[in-house]
Amino acid sequence: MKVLVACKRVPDPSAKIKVKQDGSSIEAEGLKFVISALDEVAIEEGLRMKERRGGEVILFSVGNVQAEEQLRMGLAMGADRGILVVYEGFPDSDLVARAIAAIFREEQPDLVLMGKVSPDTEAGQVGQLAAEYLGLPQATFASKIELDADGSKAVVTREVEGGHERVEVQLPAVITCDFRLNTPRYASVPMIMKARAKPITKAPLDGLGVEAIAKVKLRNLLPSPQRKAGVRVESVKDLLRCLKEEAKVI
Amino acid sequence: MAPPTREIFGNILPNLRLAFYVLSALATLIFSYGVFKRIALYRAGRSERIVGAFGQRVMLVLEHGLGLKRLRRDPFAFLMHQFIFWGFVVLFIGTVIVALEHHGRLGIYRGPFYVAVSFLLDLFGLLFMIGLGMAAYRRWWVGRERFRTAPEDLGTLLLLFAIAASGFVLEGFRIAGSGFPIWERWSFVGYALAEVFSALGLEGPSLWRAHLYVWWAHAFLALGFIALLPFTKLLHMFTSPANIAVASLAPKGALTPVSLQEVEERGTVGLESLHDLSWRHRLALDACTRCERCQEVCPAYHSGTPLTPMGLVQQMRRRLGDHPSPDRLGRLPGEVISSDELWACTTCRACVEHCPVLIDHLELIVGMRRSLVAEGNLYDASARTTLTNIAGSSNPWGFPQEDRGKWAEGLSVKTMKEVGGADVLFWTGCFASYDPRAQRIGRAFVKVLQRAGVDFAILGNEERCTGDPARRIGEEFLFQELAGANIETLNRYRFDQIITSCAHCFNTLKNEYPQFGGRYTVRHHSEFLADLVREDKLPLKANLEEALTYHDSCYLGRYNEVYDPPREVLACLAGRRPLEMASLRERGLCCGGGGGHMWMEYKAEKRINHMRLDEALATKAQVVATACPYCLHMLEDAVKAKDLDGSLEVKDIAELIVDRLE
Amino acid sequence: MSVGKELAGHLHFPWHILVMGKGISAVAEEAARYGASSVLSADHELLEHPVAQVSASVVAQATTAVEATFIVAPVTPWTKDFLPRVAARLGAGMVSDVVGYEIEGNTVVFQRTMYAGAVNAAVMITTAVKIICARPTAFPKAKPEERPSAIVPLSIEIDPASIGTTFLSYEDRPSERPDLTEAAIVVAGGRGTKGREGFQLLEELADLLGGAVGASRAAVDLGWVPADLQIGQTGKIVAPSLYFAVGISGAIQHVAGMKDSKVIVAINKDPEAPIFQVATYGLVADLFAAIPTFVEAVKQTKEA
Repeated sequence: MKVLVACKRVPDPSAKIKVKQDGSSIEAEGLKFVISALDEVAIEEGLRMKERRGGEVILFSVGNVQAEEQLRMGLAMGADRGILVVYEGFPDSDLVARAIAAIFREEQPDLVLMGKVSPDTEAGQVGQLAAEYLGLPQATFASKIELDADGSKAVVTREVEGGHERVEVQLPAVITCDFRLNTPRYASVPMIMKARAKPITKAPLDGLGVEAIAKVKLRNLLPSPQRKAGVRVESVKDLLRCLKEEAKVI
Repeated sequence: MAPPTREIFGNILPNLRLAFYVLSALATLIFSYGVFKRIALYRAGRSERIVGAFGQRVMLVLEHGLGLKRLRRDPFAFLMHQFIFWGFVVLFIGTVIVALEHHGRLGIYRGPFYVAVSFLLDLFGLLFMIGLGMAAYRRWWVGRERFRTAPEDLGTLLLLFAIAASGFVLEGFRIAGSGFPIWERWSFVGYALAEVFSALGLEGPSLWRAHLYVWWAHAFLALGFIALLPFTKLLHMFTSPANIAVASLAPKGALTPVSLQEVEERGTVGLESLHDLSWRHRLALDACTRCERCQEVCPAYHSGTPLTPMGLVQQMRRRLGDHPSPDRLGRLPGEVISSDELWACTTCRACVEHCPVLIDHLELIVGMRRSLVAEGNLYDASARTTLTNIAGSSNPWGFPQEDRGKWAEGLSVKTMKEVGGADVLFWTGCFASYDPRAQRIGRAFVKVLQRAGVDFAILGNEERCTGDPARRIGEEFLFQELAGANIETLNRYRFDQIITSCAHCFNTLKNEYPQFGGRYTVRHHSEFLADLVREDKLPLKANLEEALTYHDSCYLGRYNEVYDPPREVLACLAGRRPLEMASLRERGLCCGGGGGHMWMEYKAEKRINHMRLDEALATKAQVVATACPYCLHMLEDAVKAKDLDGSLEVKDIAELIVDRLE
Repeated sequence: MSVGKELAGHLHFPWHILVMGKGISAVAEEAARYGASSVLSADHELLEHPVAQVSASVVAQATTAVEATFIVAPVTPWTKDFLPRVAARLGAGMVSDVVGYEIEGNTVVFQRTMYAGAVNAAVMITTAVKIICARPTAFPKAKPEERPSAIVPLSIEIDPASIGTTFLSYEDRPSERPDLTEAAIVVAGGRGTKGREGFQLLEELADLLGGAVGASRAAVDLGWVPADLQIGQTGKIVAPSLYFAVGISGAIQHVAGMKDSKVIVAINKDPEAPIFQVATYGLVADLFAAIPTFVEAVKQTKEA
């Protein structure tokens, strides 16, 4: 069973994100980066499949060279090798999807797994775009994946509005993962050390035959207005007013 | 008149004597084989260097091995073992004297010397048997509910008893048979028995025949004892003092570091399999006498978890015995010892503190935890989140590093970054930095320091978690990373001493940071407060009305022996000494927060913090004083769970002082 | 719909509504009341429980049929699932979770948030066809108009064999309420609730707001609610848009489990409770009085 899994480098969700003065990007200086939590879920699922059926778990990432750090973490969890498509800048979802399609054509895996969304850009499109480019079936927001005996199909439980849906997809397919799928294993420092021996291939975008066109361009970034901390309200009416008008959460 | 003496081997004919020597040789051979096997087992273990300090080690053996320091609190057991021990020693010396006299023909075993020795032999023999009787009483009557007894516990007692008893019987026969010489009155037990035999009508040939049979019985028992020794817990006669002699002389609170290089060479981290047990660990396992003192004081055991320190040691010992050669390995964590047991430990150190033969159970537990974590076998989601947070944000909850100094806003507190140096560096710790409840401790202490005119500064957002939770959970390298970062920061500034209000930070900074080059004078805030109070630098209002009791933190008390300064401070506050809970000082009952438990979802039948709160309630105090934010939280949790908010408060010493400042 | 209508208005484009499903004539008629140029009705067997490829196919066909350059949809699990496939099929750029837009000359600049709401991004789509997935709560609802639109049935060509996905079944969630870790609104109770009576008030509020119910460790320990409701370092970690901490003191282990919530409301009798230090809005009041009053107030605004 060959599984291709995303391993995206994202800023630590608990870190304070600041926007650069010129609004071109966020301030990366001093930020700690981690693997997107939902990608960790995807990696864990891939590893479990490998443990049960044998095969290979290949990680991929599209981004700058520092993303190698996150690929190492994923390898530490137990993946076999990593592919880093080097791209300096911020690729839009479409570019990433086309890169995945190129990797897919080379590697011919049985399954592509990734988190349903990543905590930085929060677009949640890459998996579906890649599936369409490759003409593959998809199952998004997976909370359970059951492979059938010969690995040709999978029954996926999807988290949708109001409840869950079960669909059957022919493999190869693209499946995006929800938090409820599993709890990822812990990668300790010794495991990270052992992972140093595993290979990570770096491939430039054009080497894969992918054109670096962006379909969605970022014009500028602005920090969100800071919410005021610690306002004491006098009454329930006041509270409701604040929530409706100020915070706009009701 | 002939000088007092006795005939040796009197009733035993030469050919029988020969048989005896042959049997002795056989017993000695079996004994040697057993000892040899044991030593081979130790040598098959990982090598380990121990620090010299010969003099210190001799003192330890005298203190613990002979002086039974850890049994002093239990006078019954203390006497019991001293009787058995000294009884055995004296009887052994007596046997040696007899052997030397017979074979060396020294001619000393006569006259006043003979009388003195005979008397002592009888006295100590009697004490020996009394000791054995006390042991039997303790195990099978008083402790019948408590003790888990294996066949060898009964067997060894009976064997020793039988040897002594038969010895006295023989003496009785001999004295009766040799006509009741007057000097033998000094062998009072033997003499009394001789009179009994005489009264029973035993004399002449029938007497000597009985003597012969008993003599052989005695010989078999004694030789059997020698032969069996290495295969039973009797081996502790050698292994226990040996274990005491090679005990670690490092500070109690310091876990042994592992270097990445070591990991690369060995390929494993911590105690993964029996193969990883060093000779010292193996010796420690053999030193256990199944006395169960560790179990008695273990909070994990009493809260219904599967963990018992003695059980852990015995399981490992048995497994090691089954697999002496390194080829047949058993995976320690998970197979020999379940991970449930390993995670149940709160690292309170009560077991280590109370073990009479100085076994370090904690080293074994953390060693196995390290192996579990290294393999990624950390399934407690909360523990994982905590480690990930510590790795990412340098605090267990994942709050932003930059907010770490915010607790001090508005208090005119200087940061080291601003001033570059101060007399005192107040190490705040994660709790007092981020937790609103614990921030009150920090603020209170700051007010006290300002009031006393102490020149101090904090690290603010340059401070990172000391790494204690990571080290206790077994993620050793994460700990080392943090230690390295903190030491680098600390070395940039000037200060005379570090004061901290958290017992865990205190222990780690003081005892473990030196392992990585961070050598500072570190004191706990209770020690510092005690000094301030003693020097009259804190004007306090009149005596506190409410009844106070003090909870000993494991990491402050047992780990660092700081028992009195907090009590002094409280005594000053209240005008009287604080009330003491049932388990105090070295016997202090853990709050249940250590060993990573504050960060784990571990569920047991009973809650340790509830058990401790019950002890506090029993003192009828209205305030429980603590010296560590972990203890504060655990006890407050218990108060809330029992809905006692109105009647019992939990407060840190710093808070109590600041409330009473003039 | 209002986004589509407005945008079309600004750009002087005609706009059409696409209704998809099985047995949808009533819905199509409803949609016809909103003033679109036409309502395309795609009614098909396969659209009863459409899989992504089918939905994408229909939308792509509809887009080509009316030569649309903008595709606008609300953000829902269904649209998030299939719209990117439309994007790939039509070579279109897609922006999801749009909360606003501006027209600058020839181009439309869309606003969306990133990094869990910490950053606002202004983005532009460079392709001819543009797909926009809008967050419903960020825009006003469309209002019906007098003039009804024409309903045009759309014929669908789908080859069932080409679809690798088969719908098997659908199950409603056992509880009406959303999952705690995914809910946008969480109402959590602590010791102050004093048990089931207090929690019932909170449940009413949660249901009214469409949120989930959570609890502090104390409430779980005391047996008032099941353990899977526990929020905290040793429980569930949540980050909703709105978090109510009712009768919760704010012990750090609890705060660690909800600190990333966008807006935190604390309601507690004790003015010294640590929870007020992390709350965005704090109300010192007895929850047994405050919650029912709040519930009433919310009901009133909903009716208005």
